[in-house]
Amino acid sequence: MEPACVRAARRRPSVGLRSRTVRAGPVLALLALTALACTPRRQAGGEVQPDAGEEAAYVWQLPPGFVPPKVPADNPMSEAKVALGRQLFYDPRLSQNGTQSCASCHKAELAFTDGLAQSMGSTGERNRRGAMSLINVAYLTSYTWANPVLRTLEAQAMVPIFGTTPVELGDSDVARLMARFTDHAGYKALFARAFPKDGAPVSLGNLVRAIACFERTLISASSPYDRYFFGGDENALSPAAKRGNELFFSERLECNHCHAGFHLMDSTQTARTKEAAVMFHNTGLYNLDGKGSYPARDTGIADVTTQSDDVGRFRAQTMRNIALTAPYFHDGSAKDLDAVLDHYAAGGRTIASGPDAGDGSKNPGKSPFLIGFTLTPEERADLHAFFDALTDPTIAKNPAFLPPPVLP
Amino acid sequence: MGGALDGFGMDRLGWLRLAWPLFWGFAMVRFASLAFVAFACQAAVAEAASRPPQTVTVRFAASVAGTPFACGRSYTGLGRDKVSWTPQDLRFYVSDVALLRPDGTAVPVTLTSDGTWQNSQVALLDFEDGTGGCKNGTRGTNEVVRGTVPAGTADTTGLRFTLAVPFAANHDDASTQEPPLDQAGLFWGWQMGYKFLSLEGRVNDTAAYVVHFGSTGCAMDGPNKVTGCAKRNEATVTLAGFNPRSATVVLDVAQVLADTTLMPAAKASGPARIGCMSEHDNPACAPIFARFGLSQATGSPAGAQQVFGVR
Repeated sequence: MEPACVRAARRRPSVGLRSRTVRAGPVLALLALTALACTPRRQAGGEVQPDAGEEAAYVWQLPPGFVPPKVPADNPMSEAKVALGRQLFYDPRLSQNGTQSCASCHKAELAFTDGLAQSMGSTGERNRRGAMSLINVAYLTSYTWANPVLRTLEAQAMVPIFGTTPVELGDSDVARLMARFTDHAGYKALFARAFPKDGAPVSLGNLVRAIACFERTLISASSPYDRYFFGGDENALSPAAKRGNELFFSERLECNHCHAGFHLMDSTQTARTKEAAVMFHNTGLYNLDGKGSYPARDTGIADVTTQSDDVGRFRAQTMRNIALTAPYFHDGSAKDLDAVLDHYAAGGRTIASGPDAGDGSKNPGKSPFLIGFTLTPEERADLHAFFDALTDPTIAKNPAFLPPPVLP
Repeated sequence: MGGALDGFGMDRLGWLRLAWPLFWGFAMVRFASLAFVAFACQAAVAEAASRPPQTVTVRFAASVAGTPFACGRSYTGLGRDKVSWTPQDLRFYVSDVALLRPDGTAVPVTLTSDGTWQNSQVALLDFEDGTGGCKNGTRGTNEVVRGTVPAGTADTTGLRFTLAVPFAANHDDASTQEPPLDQAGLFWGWQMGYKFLSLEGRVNDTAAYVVHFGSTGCAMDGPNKVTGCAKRNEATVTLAGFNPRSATVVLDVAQVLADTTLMPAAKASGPARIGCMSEHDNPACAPIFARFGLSQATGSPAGAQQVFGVR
């Protein structure tokens, strides 16, 4: 029994989060929609998460070395929500013209990317950015390539559903979207089962909640890298992959400054995290005017924050399954991993000609960790072996990740 | 035999009959007083043992040549080349905290686990608040280290701490650790462990200068088994004239960078190092390490530190 003075010493002022003010009309509109849908709050999680309804408590199936992800307080996990979310994720009814679902750009066999430099929307509009991998997406502190205010999967789901620049799933009318589910007996039953205490369960808020619940289950870590480091299998990594691992985490290459941790990227959080660090980095991809300018079509988080020193800052992406998720960088402008290595070896790439010409290595805003390096051909091969060792072959075969039977 | 007692009109037996009760009574009194003293001592010891440990709060502050450190502020005259500097990060771990008695002996401070900034081994001090140039940081800050020393610790006059995550805790997976060891942004990886210190700033609004302390040359023997590090790079700070009740430990960023050229000439070739990340072969590290009383060559403490003071 501690004396009162020790207890008093232990008490700390609470750390609160202030929301940032951001001038961005479309984002605020989406946030308003989000406010209708959900109010994300931090919640301490455990292996078993109590459910709001009568369903059995949700049990996370976590790989070795993983702790549970953070889950918003108003969207606890349940098997019924996950099942509904999986149904929705793969259903082209999500798009106004019925041609696209989430899975159109997030394909399980490509670690939930689509193999394109820039994704295509349901009406043929090209996105300025490529689809990001959804593996372990529950652990990220922000969503999409460069948006510091998209902090939850529930909020992010609104973007492809309702976004107009570009048009992705192309929905413009909430009632029209929801009618496709309200008027469907099968979905009515799934929504009712997933949200048993909700008097009107077929709602936009519950739709994005269910999709988020499914996405949170996309946890996978069964690569050779995982078997070696978390499974203790000393033979899981080839000698070349081991050398590649040493190089990747070396002072010389500095990759681990943005690509470290269990998800090999820095902007992660778990149920234990007290305050998420939402990190963005300028990797010297462009330098149009010698003063650090990026193409006007995409200036990174500066598009959202409008601050000039945010130009070129993007979120690091995971190295997991990197061999499956070509092409690379936010706009797919590096066609393969050799192009990526060339970029970092130069401390920032040079684009010799055309409207995007410039020497990224001289970008004044670039991360100081892009120090540049030289690689022998053997070292490059070792790095490729390491990258391959990050591929998890179970993703494409995991029945829980794959499409459920189509609801007629 | 009898002679000495004869004058009292008693024979030996009579004397014994008289003396024994006196002796016994005296012995009893003696015993009682000894027992009382023993009991009282034991009670005092028991009372001391049951007295709660004394709490200790060590306050820290960060300044730049006497001006308080703050994200969003700009400072001038830093480094050998007297440049302007804007903070981007300032966080560091401390461990092995001890109060020092006048004779130099140490009273170890047991850190109080709080689930956010401290566990029982290490405390994270965080001076960046995510504003201004500290864009990849968090709102939360922490400028104190809290712990306990045994009850009855007499006044101490000094402080000692190590700027490091202890080796035993430095080479696990950050993602499975409880705070304060769960910060992916302060973790280099299993092999190299944590950044003990992260001091980052933007120089002349042109380029960033980064100082990261951490162990280097760490060898792994199989998955996740770090056997040792060639250079631990753990700075020890000893401060005299420190009373936790009234004083604050101040880290002066200007002192850290006093011997550093912050805007090095652009290199014609080779990697562009912008700072010191504890690399064993980075010449920028030598003067910074020295100011922390660390030898870059050996990775061990050598010489006095010049960056922490007492206010």
